[in-house]
Amino acid sequence: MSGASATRPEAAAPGPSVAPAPAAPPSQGSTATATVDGLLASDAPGLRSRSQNLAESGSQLRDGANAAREDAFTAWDAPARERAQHRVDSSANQLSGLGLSVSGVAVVARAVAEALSVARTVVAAGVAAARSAHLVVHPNGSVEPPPGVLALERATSGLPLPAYPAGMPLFAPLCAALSATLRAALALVEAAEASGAAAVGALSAVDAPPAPRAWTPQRPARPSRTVYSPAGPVNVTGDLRAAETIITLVSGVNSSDQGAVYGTQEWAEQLVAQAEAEGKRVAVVTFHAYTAPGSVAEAVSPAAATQAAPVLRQLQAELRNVNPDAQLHLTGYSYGSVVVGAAATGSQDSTSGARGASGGPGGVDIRSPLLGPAGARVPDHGVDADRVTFLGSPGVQAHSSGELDIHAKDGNAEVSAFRVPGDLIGLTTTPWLGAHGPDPVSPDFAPPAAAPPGNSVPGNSGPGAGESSDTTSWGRYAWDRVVDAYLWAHGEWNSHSSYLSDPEIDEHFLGPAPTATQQPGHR
Amino acid sequence: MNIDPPMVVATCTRLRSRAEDAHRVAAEVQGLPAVSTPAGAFGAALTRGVPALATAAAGHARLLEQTARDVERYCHEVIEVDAESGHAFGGPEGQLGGAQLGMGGGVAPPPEARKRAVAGAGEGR
Repeated sequence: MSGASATRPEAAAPGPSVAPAPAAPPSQGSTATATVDGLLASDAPGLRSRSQNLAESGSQLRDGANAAREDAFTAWDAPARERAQHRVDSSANQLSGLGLSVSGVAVVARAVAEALSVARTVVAAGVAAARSAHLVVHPNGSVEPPPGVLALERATSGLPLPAYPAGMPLFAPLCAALSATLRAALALVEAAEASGAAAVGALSAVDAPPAPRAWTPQRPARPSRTVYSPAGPVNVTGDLRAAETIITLVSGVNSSDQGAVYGTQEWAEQLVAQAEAEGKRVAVVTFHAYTAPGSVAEAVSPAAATQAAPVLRQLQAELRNVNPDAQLHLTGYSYGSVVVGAAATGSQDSTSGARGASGGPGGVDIRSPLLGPAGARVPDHGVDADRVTFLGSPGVQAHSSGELDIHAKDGNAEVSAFRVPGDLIGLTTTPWLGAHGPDPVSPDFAPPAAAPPGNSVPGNSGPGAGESSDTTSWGRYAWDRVVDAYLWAHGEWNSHSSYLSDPEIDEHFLGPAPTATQQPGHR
Repeated sequence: MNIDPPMVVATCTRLRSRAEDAHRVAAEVQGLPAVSTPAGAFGAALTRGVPALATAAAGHARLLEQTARDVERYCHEVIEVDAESGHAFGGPEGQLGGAQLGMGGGVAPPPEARKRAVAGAGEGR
């Protein structure tokens, strides 16, 4: 899964990220050098053979994953079937991508093996020629005349080689030619290794998936209640006042439909039930208090997000007011991420004041409390949250996480973005521009602070963003787009709907699955 | 809800088989011996990167296997509910989702017969 994550100071100042950047992979900027003996001893055929092994393994992984994706639950027609299918597809898509990556490593290994083979042949010939002329070959490829000639040179006070006595002038051009040849061969090997290592580093920059956690397709009996705000329903599942974490989910296109409202409510109930089973106090708020775009065409416009932003900002302020100790985790899914972005980049004046004091956008009175008696102070700018997550985002109306004004309890908001393999939303945005802004999973969007090594996103959120983006991050980003294209070519068109069924997203919300001995009530 | 547990369990059996295959391939990749290269950079990258890919593949294979097991377990629970009630297929979700029908929409085989079918499929026969 493509991902980006950052922890940054609340003030959105162009300062450095809070945590240190991950160490550069050892392959980056390596000063390793090849030697003549090392090259002669190298095993190019062995590397070629390893490449063949990897190619076969990659192919097997892809074929198996493609077959798993076709093993649809056709004899089952229920909402639970869709969730189960999404989980299967999620694992299959990841395995397809990994198979493709293994195949990519095989191709790179093959290319390096060929470079090694050519260089080794050249060096072997050069060394043979040098030794037949009794020349000395140094490990770095330089070739010198035999010791006797060097002694003569020293005896003649370091006269240049062309001044050697008769019979020896050929040493100079021969040594020079052989040195140039051997050094060129070694340089070729070093270049091939460095570029190959960078490529392998990008291909293998993957996160370890979460440990499996028990899951049930059926709906658990978890009550939720609906707060009918003037702008639409807001469903609350779990105990807001007792929660350690309050997750707000803002959905996107078509999310005003009753079926979508029911679907997110069901997800919330499952998540809260899962959290309870693991001894965690989590409440989930599903936000449908806006008129969501009814189609992809309508979703091109930011109007709905602009309309929703003040209501969301008010909701988050009220959640903070209801439970000041809870961690607020604000999540925007698809177009919902545009809403979150609009809330985090807008102000009360810009999003509601212009529409008159008596009511907000669309006649909605955003001053109406959603969760109880009024009393929450809505910030003048930005939104209350400690963590912000974007799932399958087409852009968030910001060029970097630093442009998001997020009010965290401790002043350090964490911003994360995820994209599952094969998500068609990737067609709507690029690292530089998109329907609603640059791609939030691109390396330039977020600083690297909290990013895992595989998805590190160097580049500060402030001015100069991207200057420190490293090759591995961009290489991985580009490779993920290749994987997307591969999955599309193999008929995967629906992964955008899979986020709320994805085990990795579960872990993002709930943390690692407890081990058996950590389960509450375990005996 | 409309579900044919034996057929769904058969699908799960195939998925578990796919997961086992992926596990095997991941283990093979994991077990490939290291390769040294003259400058060392590429060999080190392979030594680091290939196991990372294999570990990730094994992890996703486990997730696939877990999903198949969860769905299997769910199907068995559906059967148990129906074996007790004597009704057609259905379960907690059926009470929410609508008609409780087996594939074919009508008369379901006796509960014991269905349980045997599920057990057979679950054991990969």
